[in-house]
Amino acid sequence: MNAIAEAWDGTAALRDAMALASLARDCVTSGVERRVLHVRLSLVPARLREARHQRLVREALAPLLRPTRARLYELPGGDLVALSPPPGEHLDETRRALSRLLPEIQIETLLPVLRLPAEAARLLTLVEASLGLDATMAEEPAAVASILPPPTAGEVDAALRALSTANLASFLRRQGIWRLTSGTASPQPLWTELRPHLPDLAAALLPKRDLAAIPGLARHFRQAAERRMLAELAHPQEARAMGETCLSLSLPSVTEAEFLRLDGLLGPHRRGGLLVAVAATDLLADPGGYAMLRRLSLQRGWTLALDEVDPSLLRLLPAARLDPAMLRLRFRPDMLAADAHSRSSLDAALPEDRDRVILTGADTPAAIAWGWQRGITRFMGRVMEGR
Amino acid sequence: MQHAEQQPDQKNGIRERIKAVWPLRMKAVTADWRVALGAMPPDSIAVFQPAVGPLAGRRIARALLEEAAVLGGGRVVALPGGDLLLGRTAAPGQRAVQAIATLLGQAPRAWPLPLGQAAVEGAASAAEQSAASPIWSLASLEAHCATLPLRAFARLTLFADGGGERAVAQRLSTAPLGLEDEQLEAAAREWLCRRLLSALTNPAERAGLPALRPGLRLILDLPLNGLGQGAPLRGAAADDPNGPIALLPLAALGEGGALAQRLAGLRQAGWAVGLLAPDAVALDWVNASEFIWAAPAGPVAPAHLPPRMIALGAPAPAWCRAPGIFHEGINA
Repeated sequence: MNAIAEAWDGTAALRDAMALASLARDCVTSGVERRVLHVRLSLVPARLREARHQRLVREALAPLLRPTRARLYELPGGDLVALSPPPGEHLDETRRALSRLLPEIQIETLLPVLRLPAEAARLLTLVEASLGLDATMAEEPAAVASILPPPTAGEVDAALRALSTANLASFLRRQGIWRLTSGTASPQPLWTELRPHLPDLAAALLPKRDLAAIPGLARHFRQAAERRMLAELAHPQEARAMGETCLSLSLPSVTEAEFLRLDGLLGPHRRGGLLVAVAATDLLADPGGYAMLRRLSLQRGWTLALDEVDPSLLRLLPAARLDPAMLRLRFRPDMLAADAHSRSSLDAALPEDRDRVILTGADTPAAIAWGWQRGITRFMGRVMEGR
Repeated sequence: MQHAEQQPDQKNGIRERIKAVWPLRMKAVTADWRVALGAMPPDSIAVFQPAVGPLAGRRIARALLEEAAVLGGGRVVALPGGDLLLGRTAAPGQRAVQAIATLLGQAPRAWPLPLGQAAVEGAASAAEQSAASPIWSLASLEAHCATLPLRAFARLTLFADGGGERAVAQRLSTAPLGLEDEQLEAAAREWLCRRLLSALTNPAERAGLPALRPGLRLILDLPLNGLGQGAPLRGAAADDPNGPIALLPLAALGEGGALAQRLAGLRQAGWAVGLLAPDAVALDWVNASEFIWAAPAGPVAPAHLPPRMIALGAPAPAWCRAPGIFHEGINA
């Protein structure tokens, strides 16, 4: 836990960036004037970015910060932004001091001064750039055509038999779901997601075969792996040791004997801490089955989450219609490039109570910032794992 | 893949525990339930959940009965025709009856014991005699679907519009096989749908299909994945309000980009596109009113009625006799 909190400190810059963005907007609405010095350290050659240079820069900025009400923001990527009330002679002085200190720095391009509120848009743009929020839709790498042959039905049958008695311990992956607000210092753990790592498992049981080539068999394999995981969890000792857990399962697995045994073993109290996530595509394939799961979850006391939701599925299953107890929205970088219309239609389809939304795939600070912009404070992804 | 024997750790015991538990379960199933029934104490309970309906619901019902047996003492006897709870105290059994009724919409039968002993004996004996349902593997089901004669599964149903009684549309579809496993049923529909399509486009096979009525609007079930090989089916001119309707499974909505491409292709070929929902609850949840919706019609109209709907099932409930709704249950 401590290790994660420490790793998180590095992303305090994210909070600074969000604060700076909201301050720029405030200046626009209230008309308050500010001068902004942007120290574009991210563009400085690497040899000038060592710790001693950093120290020099901060020493040069200190006289600016002390006597005035100026504030220093540190953006992701290493840029510094100092804000000061007009007329801002201190700002100009500091700027000159910095350029004397690091003569290699070109004062015009690397130390620009902006005026708020007139140049708020420019400031917002540079903040968004530092967050990665300006990412133009990066082309998804095209799925590499597999050169491996698909497995035969007989090979899959043999793999499923092996799976039914296999020890899954080394194939289980754990990942945290965290609560992170722009106000709190460190993320708080909510659930630990537990899932079998299918690519590794398929590589071990069906070596040199491309399981994904046959979706029907791949689905079978996934369900068999889930049932095996549930069978390993469904023992009194394991169930007692289970904390707040999220299980991402395919719809049929939730009504298999293994899950129902686990459900019984957990007892009412532990069931309250269980989140069962079922993909939205599974709901479309079997809405009646999903309706029954919903009744079951209410009766038994665990929480049913709608999983693997993307913007197009969210528009099809708006919260106003489905009213999911929890929704796991999958973040993708192209969501940053969405236009105002699709952004507002997405926001309208989310549950009003944003505590019912988990943003998964939060692998970059941009994902957290995107979530915060729409009130989402629950995240799962690499940013949170401190990587 | 390492086996438990080769990797001594805390998981090592799991397989041993399974081995230890398994024979007990088998014994519970095969033990003579009559002896147990005769020895039930006063104020005990018997609950019988018949083996009908989807497997998922039956598994849930069994889990609830087993929980009642653990909480109140007693046991669950699994018979080919259903599951029998012999509970030594009544309250947990009654709670299970309530829970099952809420979940599945139908309460299992329950008797106070020893008063209802004779009735329980009758129900359980019948359940013991009933044949276990066949177990399909994917491979055996695929083979079955490949050899099933067309006339055994190709079905033509007629529809009237709104308040009318006259047939205006005909749906060519596959008859459900009535499998207990919803996944297998969906897989069978997929295979049979493809056969239906290839029969439509193949003059030699077409004679095996029910004769289409001239002048009636065609509603055709399509498989989830692609249209298979062969020439694309021609529909009507793109703006013809009476053009044929292609019914895609609701799951097609989850296909994203592939769906958009497919819709464009169908519409260009003159087809209107409908969605086939296996359960009417989807009408309340899914916001896709640009499609024609086909769904089983329940006794109560759905809260979100799409502008155009094909109500499945006969006889059609009264709410289906409204403009914009095709309904079954008319004389040809």
